[in-house]
Amino acid sequence: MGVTLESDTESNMNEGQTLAKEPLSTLSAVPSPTLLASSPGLPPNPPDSTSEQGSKTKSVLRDLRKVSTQRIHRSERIFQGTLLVGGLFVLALFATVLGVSLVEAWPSITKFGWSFLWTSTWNPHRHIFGAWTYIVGTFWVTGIALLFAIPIAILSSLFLSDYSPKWLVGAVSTLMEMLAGIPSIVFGAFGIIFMVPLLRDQVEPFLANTLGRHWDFFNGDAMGYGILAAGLVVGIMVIPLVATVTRDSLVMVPRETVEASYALGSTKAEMVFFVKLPAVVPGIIGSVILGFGRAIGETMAVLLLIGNQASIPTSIQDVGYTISSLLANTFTYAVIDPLYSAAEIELGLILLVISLVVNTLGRELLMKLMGGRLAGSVGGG
Amino acid sequence: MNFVKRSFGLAAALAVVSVLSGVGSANATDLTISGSTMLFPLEQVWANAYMKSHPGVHISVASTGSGFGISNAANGNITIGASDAYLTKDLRKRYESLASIPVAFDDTQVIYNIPGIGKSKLIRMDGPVLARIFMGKIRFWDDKAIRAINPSVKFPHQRIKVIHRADASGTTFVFTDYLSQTSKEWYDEIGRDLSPSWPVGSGYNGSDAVVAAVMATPGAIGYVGLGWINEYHLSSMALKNLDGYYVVGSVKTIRNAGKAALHDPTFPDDFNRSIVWNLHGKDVYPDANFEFWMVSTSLPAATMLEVKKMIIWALTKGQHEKYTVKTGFAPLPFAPLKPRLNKILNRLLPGNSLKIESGG
Repeated sequence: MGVTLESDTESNMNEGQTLAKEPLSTLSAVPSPTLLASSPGLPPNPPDSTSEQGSKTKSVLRDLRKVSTQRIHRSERIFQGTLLVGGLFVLALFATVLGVSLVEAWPSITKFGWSFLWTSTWNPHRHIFGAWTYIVGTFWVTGIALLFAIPIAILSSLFLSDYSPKWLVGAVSTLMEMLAGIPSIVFGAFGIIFMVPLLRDQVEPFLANTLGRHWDFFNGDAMGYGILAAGLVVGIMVIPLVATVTRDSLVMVPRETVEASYALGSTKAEMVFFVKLPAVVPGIIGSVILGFGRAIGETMAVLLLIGNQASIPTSIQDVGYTISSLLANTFTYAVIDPLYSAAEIELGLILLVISLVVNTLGRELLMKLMGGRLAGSVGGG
Repeated sequence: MNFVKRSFGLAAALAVVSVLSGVGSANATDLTISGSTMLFPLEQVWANAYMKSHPGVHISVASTGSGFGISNAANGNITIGASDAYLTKDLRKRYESLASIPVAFDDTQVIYNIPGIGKSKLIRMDGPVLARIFMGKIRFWDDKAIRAINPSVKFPHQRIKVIHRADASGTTFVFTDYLSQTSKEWYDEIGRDLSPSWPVGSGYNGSDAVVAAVMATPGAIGYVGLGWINEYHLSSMALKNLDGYYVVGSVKTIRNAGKAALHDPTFPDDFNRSIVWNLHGKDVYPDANFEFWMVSTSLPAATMLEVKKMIIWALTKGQHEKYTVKTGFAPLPFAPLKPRLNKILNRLLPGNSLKIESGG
């Protein structure tokens, strides 16, 4: 961009503004100069040489410019107004969702107070509602999913960025993106026909016979369905998210850093492990937060696999219940009873607050660690 | 532009004509039926048959769950709400305008997957033992309580895996109703509900998923309605009834249960009681239920007339086996039903006496 060109247009704008001022002042709606400066398509300022051709041409040009700037001002305002509507709509939408949920959940909030959070009884029959079982179940599934997804995603992105042959990079990253776009119900069905029999007949008996001998945590009656199946399938859904963001940040590691590491005599493995990996830790954290957001709200796949039993899991083979799958299963019924539906909406609010808090914390963390370079990649869960 | 205007005019004219004819002969009516997922297949068959024989009536059917059916019929969002559960005292208080009309018989049966026990072997079960199984208090198939009822069956030492519905379901209501009526323990701790708080087991969404889970899990026990027993050729347990007989659910034994209930003089006229309750007889299945249609008495008169016609059709011609038995229900006996039904229909549309005669 030429500096001279920029200053030239700027002077044009200023002139255009003084010209436009006369008719607009009657409307008492003078646009700000900053707004004008951003408007493209102003007619070019006639060079000084034209003055030789007489004042007639000049006045015609001046009139023309007056009309066009006026028109531009109007369209600018309309455009600005339209954008404002869009922006306000999003705000209003969020306020409405939050407001309606709060109002609808109010009977439950006032009746149970904070104890709603740590009460583990959920009995619509007796009008006792508590969220603890469902919060625990939600974190179990999310935890298993992240524990499973993060190592695999990091290994795969390191392989892709430094060790993989070129032809494989394209194929794998395309597949990753496709994997991220598959609807969750498909993964749920895959879980039922593949994961459940595998867990029931192979993995869970194996776990019970090896680790289960020493720790009750790995024992249980092999069902296939349960927090393990749900967690693993959600993990599969989270892998592409974590892997893609991690690989993107690996690519962003400066070449000079890598070369400096080689210059100091490190091997490739040492370079990857001691230089590249620490450099992308913030990116990994960001992607994990993204994955957390995906995992915590996942509904359909979890509902199909978790075994929907409102009890707190004590073993990896146990069944459980998450907030989202409870809502999906019973909300159409809960509307029959105001307190019942209030309690379920309060559960939804808890889910909303958890993901808001985690996303905000994650964003703050990223801002601190990366100076906001990657913060944009951490969107809403 | 011109075309748009013209078609607008045409549409307006058509609308006027249809409104006029609607006022004149109550011809162009829209009925919406929504609710119970259990009753949905039968409603679909009914709607198609009824629309064919009654041109001008349009019926849309949706499967949204009994809870939705009850609450939306009460506030007038839909014309007919379908429900597997009758109106309990609580619900009657909340939705005063609702009248419940029984439209078919259904039941809940207990299915199982016990390794080493074939389909031909009949397993007997009674309420208290079944309740203790579903409460997690009996944990193995060779428990002495189960063996005591089935002296001729050799059970393996296998963990019992309880399988129940996760969504709010009328099937669950009927099943927990049986447990509540027969086991004090169950009544005190859990009670009957479309979505009770299950102490043990694992939950699945819909009866198909329950069947699949029971068939895939060795040691499993679960419950589904008659339609699924027939569809998947499952064998179910014989349940103990009030007189001590062990009865397997079938179209015949369910009908017997319904007849026994209707002949019982203490059975309430508004049908707001489970028919599981206190039934005598040898071949009477103890876990049968009515399927209900819920109609609000505050519907406008013109709509109500159509609704009443539709109900009477469903209760007479609609009970034919090609509709009911084919979709997994038992037909209602009309004769013992008639006096009670007349009362309900009069409540819906007083002073307008439609001749109710048995159609089939």
